[in-house]
Amino acid sequence: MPIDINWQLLMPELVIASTLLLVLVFDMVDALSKTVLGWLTLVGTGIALWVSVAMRLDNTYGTTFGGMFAVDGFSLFFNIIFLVSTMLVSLISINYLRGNSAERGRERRQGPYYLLILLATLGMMLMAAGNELIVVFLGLELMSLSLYVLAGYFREHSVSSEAGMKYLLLGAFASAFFLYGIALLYGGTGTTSLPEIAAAVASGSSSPLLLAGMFLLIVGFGFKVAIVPFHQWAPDVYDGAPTTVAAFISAGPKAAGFAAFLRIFTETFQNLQPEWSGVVILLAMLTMTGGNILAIAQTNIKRMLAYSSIAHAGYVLIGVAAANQEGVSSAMLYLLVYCIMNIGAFTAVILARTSTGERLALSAYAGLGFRKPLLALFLTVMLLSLAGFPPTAGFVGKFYVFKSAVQAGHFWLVAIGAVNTAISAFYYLRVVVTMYMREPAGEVDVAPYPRTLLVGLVLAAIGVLLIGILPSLVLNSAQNSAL
Amino acid sequence: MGLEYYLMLSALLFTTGVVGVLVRRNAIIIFMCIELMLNAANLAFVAISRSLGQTEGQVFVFFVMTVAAAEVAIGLAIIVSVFKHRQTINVDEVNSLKG
Repeated sequence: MPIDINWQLLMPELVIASTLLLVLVFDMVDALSKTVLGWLTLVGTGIALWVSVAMRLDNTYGTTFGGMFAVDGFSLFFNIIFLVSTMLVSLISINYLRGNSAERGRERRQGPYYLLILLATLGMMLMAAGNELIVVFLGLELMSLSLYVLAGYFREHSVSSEAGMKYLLLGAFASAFFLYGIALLYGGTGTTSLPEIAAAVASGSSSPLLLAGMFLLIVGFGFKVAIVPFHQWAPDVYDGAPTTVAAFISAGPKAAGFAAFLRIFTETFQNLQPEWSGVVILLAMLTMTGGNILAIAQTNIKRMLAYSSIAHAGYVLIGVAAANQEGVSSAMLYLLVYCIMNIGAFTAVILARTSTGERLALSAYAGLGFRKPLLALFLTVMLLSLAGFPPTAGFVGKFYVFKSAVQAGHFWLVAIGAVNTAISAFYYLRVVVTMYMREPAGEVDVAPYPRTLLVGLVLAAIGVLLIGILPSLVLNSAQNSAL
Repeated sequence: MGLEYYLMLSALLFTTGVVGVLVRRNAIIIFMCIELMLNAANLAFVAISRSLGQTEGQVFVFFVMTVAAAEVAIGLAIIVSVFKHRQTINVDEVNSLKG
């Protein structure tokens, strides 16, 4: 049976795949400075971003590979989120990897790093466009396997290996749940294609296998996007992994998990909404509250950001629970905003490093506001955005998520979300207060700014303020892209 | 034989895997239990596909086996790297990250 493949629809994926092959080949050329690989990744993802935006504007939509791969506004919007995150992360990695190798007096391998980043990005794009559970599973695994290696990338640091192992064991455990869920759905409906499952559900089939499969999928996704009570891996992995990798794991993969979650639950399982909506609402409440309360107790800034990113997954779940078009588009907007501001915050943490290593203890931030005014200013912008203050993008994101939940009638969820926003402001502002108002214990030890990290932070700050002041730039696009 | 027997066996294997992951403390044994969970899913795929008279489910099993093989390659490498640092792969003793 001949299969028509519409290559035009695969352009962003093909660009990423070619870039990763180029990285692989260039890595073998010894005469070449390995910094080139970082720039190559940056240019490749830039082209893929441009192609995705162009396809989104021309409405180049359709399905290919016999309906297994769906390119629509939804998948293209998510491509934009992934590619923006990947660009920011590869930009900040260029100096980060070099800085580390200079400290240790030997060259760190850069080829595999960028290769894995690109592979993970490809996996995320497959997840967002997968219109067939097996394609989603393959995308998920491509992404996860690359991330396990990235988390353990600094092999000479024992914490990095430990982070890799914890991520691997819990991630593979979650993947098995996800796969078993797929198997049960296949048993319940006789197909793994999302539109056909939707048709089976619409025709009134609700066998126990179908429902069990659906809940196993929630467990699988719950681990991947770190929602309470499946979040235990996140703080350890973010803490132990190289900081650029922590920024990467907190951004793109979370968005990819939600992309597949949104497509499967709000589109395919639309008619089963009464069954799953209660669970999702409960998880949203637990995730927001749990993430924020645990974040207060942290003294390490990377762990604090890890718990805050768990809480942010809870806000996205509010949009999922609303399950109307408004909810989906607000969740998409929130994920875009969240990726930019979270990568920005991690970048600021890397930039705040001391001459001997990273500045991780919150108390070490005392006095930084006067010693490094520019950095402190940008970090403050990121933290205010994470806390959801106007006129930053975080406020816009939260506003539309809450609005969608009100429209869907989930007033309690919005009330809990609002209380949580107040709780989160406490620990975000605590960092700001420490930077500007606490007396440092001694001389504040600072290191010079590496250039690409600074560029990355400035770009993230511009993005956060631009979306905060002119939300219509991306809001309309998100609204037109919702399923 | 009816499909339900195969599904019951598969559910039993899956549960064994889950319990193993939660109870055992050796990273490699935990990893083997995860493989058991994947194989439980494979069994379900094959049985369902046979009872429906389709070939799709059997093709998925090949994909899953490939993914599982890749996962083992990466997983063992990471576990070896942890062992080099600590001389142990007991997950309770690998605990420098907490808080």
